[in-house]
Amino acid sequence: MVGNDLIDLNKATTESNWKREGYLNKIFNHQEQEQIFNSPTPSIMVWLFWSMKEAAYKIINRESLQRFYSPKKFSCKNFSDQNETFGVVAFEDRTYYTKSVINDNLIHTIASSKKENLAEIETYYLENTSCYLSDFNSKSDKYFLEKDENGIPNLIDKTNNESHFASISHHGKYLAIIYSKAINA
Amino acid sequence: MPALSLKNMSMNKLNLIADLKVIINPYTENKDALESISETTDFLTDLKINSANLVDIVLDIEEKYGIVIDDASMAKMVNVKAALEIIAHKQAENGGQ
Repeated sequence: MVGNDLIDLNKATTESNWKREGYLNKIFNHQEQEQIFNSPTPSIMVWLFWSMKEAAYKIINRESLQRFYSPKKFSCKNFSDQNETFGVVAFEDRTYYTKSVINDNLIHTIASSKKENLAEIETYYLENTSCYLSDFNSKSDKYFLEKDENGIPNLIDKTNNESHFASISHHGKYLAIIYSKAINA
Repeated sequence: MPALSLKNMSMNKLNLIADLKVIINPYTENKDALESISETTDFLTDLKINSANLVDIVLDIEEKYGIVIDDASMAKMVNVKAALEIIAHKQAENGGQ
């Protein structure tokens, strides 16, 4: 199972003040806060960790159908190399692996319960509009994106009718659709 | 008397929902859903509140009512009903008001 979370950095700056007293304490543990304050770009670290927690939560939510708001129960560690940011999120006895894209405009994190699946995930970025489903379908030759009656997205391979697990995240100006190349993974 | 106390309780609940409406206003663009806020309103699916702003709502509620919302209570804070229960419960712990 895979999950993802996208943050429009401009929008995050205007709609959230993470420097507000008490804010970080509600969502980040001590180690995470230390890493935030030791970073040359603290606000990038705030939103990177937040997107990691959200991406992992989305897997748990989709598997368990339980909703809860416990950001502190997700502990993040990240490892950056020159081009890519990888991470690990621990939740209770479970571990999720993450990969993030960070640029001037957005942070996008994908998460998977299996490390090797991260390489199997494809990402499409679109403008965040109400007609993104038809936008996607008019641009994609191979796939058809649909939502079931519960709003769960599903990606159909038009060449062989195979169904792929998909996940959508949007914020501000941007929208990401991810899917696993493996069938129903 | 039971009828009266029931009436007081629902008045109190209506006042709390009116307070919540003011607290939530800066964090939702979905003003129609906010206008018709009720006990069954969901913060995320109905009001489309960004999950990073739920923290602000928790902090605003703490400040407004002089309570501390611990992690276990915050875990349930996904709708108006849960928020009302948490406020009532924490106020009772503080000796009631």
